[in-house]
Amino acid sequence: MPEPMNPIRVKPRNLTARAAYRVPGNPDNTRLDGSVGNCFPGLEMDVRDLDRRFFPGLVFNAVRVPLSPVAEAPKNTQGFHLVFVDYMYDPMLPDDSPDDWVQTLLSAYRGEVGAKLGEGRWFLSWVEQGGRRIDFHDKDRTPYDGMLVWRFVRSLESGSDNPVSVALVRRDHEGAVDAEPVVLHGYRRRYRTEAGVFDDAYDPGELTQSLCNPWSHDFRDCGCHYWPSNHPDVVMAEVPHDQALPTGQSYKPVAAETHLDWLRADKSPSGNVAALNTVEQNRPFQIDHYQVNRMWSELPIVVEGRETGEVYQADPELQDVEPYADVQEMVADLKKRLAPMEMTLSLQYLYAYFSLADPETVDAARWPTLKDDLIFARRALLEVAIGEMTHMRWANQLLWELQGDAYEPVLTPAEILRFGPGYGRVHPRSLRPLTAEAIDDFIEIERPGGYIDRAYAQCVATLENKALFARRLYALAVRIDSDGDEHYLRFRQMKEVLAKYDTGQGLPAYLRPVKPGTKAQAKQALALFNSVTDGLRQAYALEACDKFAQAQEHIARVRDTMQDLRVTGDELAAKGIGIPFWPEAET
Amino acid sequence: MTRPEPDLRAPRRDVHFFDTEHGQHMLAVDGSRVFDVPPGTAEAHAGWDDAARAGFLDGLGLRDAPFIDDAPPQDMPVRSLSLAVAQKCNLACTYCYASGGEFGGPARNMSWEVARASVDRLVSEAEPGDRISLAFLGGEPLINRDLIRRATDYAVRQARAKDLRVGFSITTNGTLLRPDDAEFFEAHGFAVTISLDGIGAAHDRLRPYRGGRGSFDAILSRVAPLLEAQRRMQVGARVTVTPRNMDLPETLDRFVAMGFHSVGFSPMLAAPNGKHELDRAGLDDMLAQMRLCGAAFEAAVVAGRRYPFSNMASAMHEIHRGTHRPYPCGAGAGYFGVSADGGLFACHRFVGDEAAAMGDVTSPDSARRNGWLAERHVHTQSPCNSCWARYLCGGGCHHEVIHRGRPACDYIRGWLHYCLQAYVRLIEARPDFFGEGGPPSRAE
Repeated sequence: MPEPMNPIRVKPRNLTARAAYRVPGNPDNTRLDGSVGNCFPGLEMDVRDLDRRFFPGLVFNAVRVPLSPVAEAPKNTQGFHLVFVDYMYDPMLPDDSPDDWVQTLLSAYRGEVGAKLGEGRWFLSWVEQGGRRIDFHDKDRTPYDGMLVWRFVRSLESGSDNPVSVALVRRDHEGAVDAEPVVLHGYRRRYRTEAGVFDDAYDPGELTQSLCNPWSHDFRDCGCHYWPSNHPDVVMAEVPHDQALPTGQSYKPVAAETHLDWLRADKSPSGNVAALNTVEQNRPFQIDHYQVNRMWSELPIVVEGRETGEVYQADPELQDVEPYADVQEMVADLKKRLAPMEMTLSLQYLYAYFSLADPETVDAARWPTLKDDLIFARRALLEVAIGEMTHMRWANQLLWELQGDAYEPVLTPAEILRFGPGYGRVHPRSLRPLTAEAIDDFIEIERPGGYIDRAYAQCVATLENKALFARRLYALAVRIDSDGDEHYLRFRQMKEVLAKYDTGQGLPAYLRPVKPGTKAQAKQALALFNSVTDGLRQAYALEACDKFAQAQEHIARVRDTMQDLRVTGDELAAKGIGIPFWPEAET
Repeated sequence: MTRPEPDLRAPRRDVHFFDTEHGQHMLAVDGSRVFDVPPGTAEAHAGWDDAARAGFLDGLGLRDAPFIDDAPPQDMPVRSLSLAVAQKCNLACTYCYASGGEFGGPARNMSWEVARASVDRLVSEAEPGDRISLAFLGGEPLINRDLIRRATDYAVRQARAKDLRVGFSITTNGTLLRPDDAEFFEAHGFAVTISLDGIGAAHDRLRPYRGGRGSFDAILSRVAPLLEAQRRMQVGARVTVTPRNMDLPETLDRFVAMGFHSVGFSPMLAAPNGKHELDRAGLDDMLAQMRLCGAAFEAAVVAGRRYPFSNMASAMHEIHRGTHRPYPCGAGAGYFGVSADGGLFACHRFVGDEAAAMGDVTSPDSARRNGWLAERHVHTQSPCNSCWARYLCGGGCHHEVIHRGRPACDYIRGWLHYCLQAYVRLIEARPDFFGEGGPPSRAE
């Protein structure tokens, strides 16, 4: 028998064969339909490039307002900038076209207009279609940013019944218009031909010319946080496992918990100094453009915020965790302890969130950085609170998967919490502003290897048994378990960022005075909160019997109500009233 | 009617090889993709087992997610309706699927209410910018000329109000055409199809008046003003091929010379009275004749001459695009036939036929529509689901399949095999015919 596996050379003939043809050895995403196209500036293609030839014979670039303008540079360089006139091989402009508009355009490009457009910097000034004109200037005649112009250009319609007129203006060094505008009439180009392939007007490489280059310069500098260029700014140093204390903490806690700049050029132990506060301050110590091309593969893998060496060892400090004796024991623990605890945490965090001052009204003269830090802290705290709500849902999901018909939603907050070193101490639940002490407690609560972490590790150890449990249950428990590390890091960052506003005299500048209100004061907020728990109860019960569509209706309503609760909570907090999610008399 | 169980043992053909003077080629059935392959590939392939064949496709990257899955489209909007405006006819064609135009029922005309409801149905299911199509058929539709004009004007108004594009077509025997019809059809850009079954006596034998007199001369004199007037309008000739009108190249040449915008042939496979159906030998004859017509088409294209042999022209463009379809046509999906009394059927041929009834035009029966699409998907049809031509053919005309079965598969495969060869020859010789590259330079 011949050897059929050897690749043979074939030539795709028709359009489907050509479109779907995968060059042997190329990965899937070398074809456009398997790619991600966006405009920032995109991965496999930059969709802005489709519109650079929107008008026959002209080639534009969408130019943005410079981020760091240089004084001596020309002014008003933003907009749709004419790169050059390119009519010779434009499929919309064949020499022998019988259409008047084509011949008119061709003679313009070949003649005076073409010569004029070849001198100086020309920009698209307006477009007109269907009797409507869009002028690309602000009221004070400042030209629009190229991205904005591009949005409008995109909206132009193609087709023989949709003529388009465009005007171009020339701008001098000072950005002022210094020549009579050029007005041209034609039609918008279609991106694709009838056969479904890109118009021949586009040159090879033209649609990909402005892409980012994930493994080189763009990886260093890219600001779009897109996956190929996304990287951590700060990380914690690798901690050898044999240097951990039985509690999970390092022998050298300062070194183990100091944030380092991930891009630091000096990777030796001497380079492991704390990262500075801003990108600009860290910049001189980072690997440079010429280095990243060579060194990107030396950048360490980061797991859970920490650089790892050759081998990543999951939860090394929790080796003494034993599985539950049986499912009943785990169910009981989830019901009585874990799910209620998640609810309590999410409400404590939510309460603390409302205690943070409004970033818009802070004393910017006295605390210039406070606004930004508050924006960070509010977002981070809300994320953590939402994370706990998610955990509560997952704990419930574990319950309904394990209990079947016997399941009842658990939506009652626990009255006590346990945290602290070792097996922890019992603390009453408490609605507290985000004071320094509260942050310290929250850090303890979420500490890897702490009480909560260990509790879930026990679930993970139980569900790990493939013979007894579906793999998704195990995966669910792992997700809750590993999420906690992120919360821990978040609180540590909050502590660091907010500490400087706590002068030890009176209320720290980042807080507003909030005390738990009475039921009457918080009537509206409590009603919303009750509607949230009722909605969740119904949703979970429905999900438990696979009625997902109906459950979704409740979930969607709960989401809306949570938005209202956030607004209401903020309004109350502005008046110094915290939402009494539970009676605080017991503390 | 029970559907035969698909024969799962039949080897499923995923490729089809063919040769031309340019070498060996392969149709990858999935996605109707055409490739050049090294000489000897077909012979080697024939000796491989299933695993080796699968490995071969893998190696070429041809086993990604299939272009067509098993899921039938559901709840499709109605895009195209043909109205049986007159279920009666002044001719007595020997093989008529509508049994003399009456579809086996009493002769009748469509009322204005039904025509209006049909237009409303089309308009209501379309979104601004969409294209809808209204076709007038019968019987002989021009018996109800007033309704055609009224419905056309109404559709133009309704479409304009909703920013829809609307296309019109009519299929007529041509005997009742008047000069003012030419003006009306031209004004609305109709696609007019005239049923002509040959030249002179050949036509007259098959398409006589009810009294037995021939109709050819009368039709030609009535069609002439339309051929003369066509600018927006396109006038085509449709020839139903029976054992009694087999001179296809001659017929084609004559009709092209007369100025028809397109000329197409279709085999007579299922007549209610069984008359003049083509048998196996007849289909073999027809295939030979079609290939002669195809050769004339190829010669014309290479010479840069327009030669509107519609079977071939559409096959070339479909193969070039790689058209792959799980159904032979849009019947019961976006296309329906409306009977004179407003019943909705899978297509114009099924009018009055319970097997393909889909409710009525004011209240389509979506369960039956969805059921039809599920049942008629080519993956559920045997032996289609193992045939290499399945996505080019789509399983064969539903009406013929349901009433006569599939007697013409060899003919269809033979024709498609020829068309694939012709495609490779033409895209080599005249890529400009497919909108690619320029015409060959004179020096060549």
